[in-house]
Amino acid sequence: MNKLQPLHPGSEDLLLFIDGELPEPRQAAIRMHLAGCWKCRAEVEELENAVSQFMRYQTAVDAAEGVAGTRSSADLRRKLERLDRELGRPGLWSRVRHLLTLPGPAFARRVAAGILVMATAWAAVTLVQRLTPARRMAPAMQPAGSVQAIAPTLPPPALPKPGVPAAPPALAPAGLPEIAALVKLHTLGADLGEPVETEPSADGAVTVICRQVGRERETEIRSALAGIPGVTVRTEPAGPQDTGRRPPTTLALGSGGNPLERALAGQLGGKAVFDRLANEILEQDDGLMARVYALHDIEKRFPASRQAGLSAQDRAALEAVILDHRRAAIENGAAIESRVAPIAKALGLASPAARQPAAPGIFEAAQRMDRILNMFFGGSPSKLTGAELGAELNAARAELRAALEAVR
Amino acid sequence: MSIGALGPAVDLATGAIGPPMESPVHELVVQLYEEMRDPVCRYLARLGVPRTALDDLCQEAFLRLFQALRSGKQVPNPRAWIFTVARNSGLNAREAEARTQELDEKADWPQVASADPEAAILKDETLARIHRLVEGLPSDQRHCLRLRAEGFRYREIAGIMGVTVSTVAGSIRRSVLRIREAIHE
Repeated sequence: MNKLQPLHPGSEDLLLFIDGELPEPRQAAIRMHLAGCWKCRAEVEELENAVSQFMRYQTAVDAAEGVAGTRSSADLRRKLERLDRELGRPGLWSRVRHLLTLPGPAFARRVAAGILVMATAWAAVTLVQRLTPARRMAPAMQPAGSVQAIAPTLPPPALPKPGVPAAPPALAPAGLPEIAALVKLHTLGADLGEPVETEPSADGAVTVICRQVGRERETEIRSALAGIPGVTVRTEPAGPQDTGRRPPTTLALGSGGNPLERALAGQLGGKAVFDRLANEILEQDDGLMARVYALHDIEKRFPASRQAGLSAQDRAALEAVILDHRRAAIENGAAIESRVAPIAKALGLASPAARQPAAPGIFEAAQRMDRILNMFFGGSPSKLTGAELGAELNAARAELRAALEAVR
Repeated sequence: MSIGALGPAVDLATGAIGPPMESPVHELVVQLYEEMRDPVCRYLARLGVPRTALDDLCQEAFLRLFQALRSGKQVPNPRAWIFTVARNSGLNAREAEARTQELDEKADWPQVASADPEAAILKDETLARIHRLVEGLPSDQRHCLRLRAEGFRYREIAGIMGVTVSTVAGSIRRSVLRIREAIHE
């Protein structure tokens, strides 16, 4: 079996490509291939035409059937108000947001909202401490995101929301505009794969470029960056999406899928269990990839030689962002492992702990894991046999574990 | 769009839409309703929900979203959330309907139309071919296509339908390749 990258991507890959559903490295590889291949461009046009014709059909059916909601939004408003009354007092969140939107001095409103939040938090903490004194210290003693937690026997950890810091990072103030902008964007979670770029200039100023992030998001970003000396924000149309991410080189992608899916579903207790696990794993994988790409980007922008020239204040701010990404990546990795372990066990794979691979970079290890997870659970085609898929999964687990251990 | 406790999509900067209300959550839900009412009703119709029940089930999904947000629940993807709830309600309603009258095999495909949709579609040869093909697709494949046409990503469709992403990818792949063939017949 040829494990090399096929000369031309198949129709399956091209369809996933036009739907933007391939892992980014593969997406970039096909984009590059299409730039020079008329045959595949023609194939893409055929697929796009099929999609267009289906949409034309669907529009015609919708128009002919004339199905539409007949109740106005005013009707829904009345029901919401009635429901609100039936449910009683609005929740804390509603009250806080309501306070923030009241007319009047902004400072007073924010203070009132803050007092309400703090008072509620204090009451909640006091109540919990009274009710559960024995467990009071336990969660705080757990090292957050410890790689030691990666063990098949552990219950799945609470899922951090992929792509968003699980806890607000303690970020230091920065002096250099580029780092100040990085810190702010990180606080907003805008450094996790959104089309937001940073363009430094020779005089030390920096331009943050938003490419079709949406009006609300752009307002949020502009507001966060407003007032930082040397930082300006510019809007541009979507660019060529050249992320500089390297194309995959380890595995061949072609037609196929996961030949183990049916057997696995049986061993894990049914398709529903497999489906749930698959969706959870891919969510965590998304979070992991967002973090490692963010770290990769920082590494490129601030190599060691440049970091050495930064002020202590800027180095501390940069380090805080890096540590936060690493912490989140470790949590994502632990969450992936806790879900993949039962699957590996069902496949009869040896524990990856038995292997001691040389510690790879976290970027390479996460990319390898991303590729295999997408083959296993994400519909990415593969020419690997079931046994090869299993072995690759185990190798990727060992590599990721070693990489995360190295940055812990 | 992400909403829930302090989700960024709640646009407070632009001010309230309509009369003052208790919280911006109201406004957010109403805004979503205005955007999604017709697609949700169409989706419910294709699940086999009788026309007379479409509005009720559609509004129920938005009321449940409101309740969830009000109780502090995180709803990272409200569009997919609404469709998931609508799908579950629609399938329940269809089951209830089936208890009173036996459903035929195609009950999950257009049960609507005051006019005859086929008459308009069949005038166009390409659309007629696609129509025949789509009608012959398994129900799940049709729903995957429909949801994709509504703009959902594979992962969102998987969440709504309770299947894996690879199942969605396979369904869409097979359907699109068959549509491509049908166009060139």
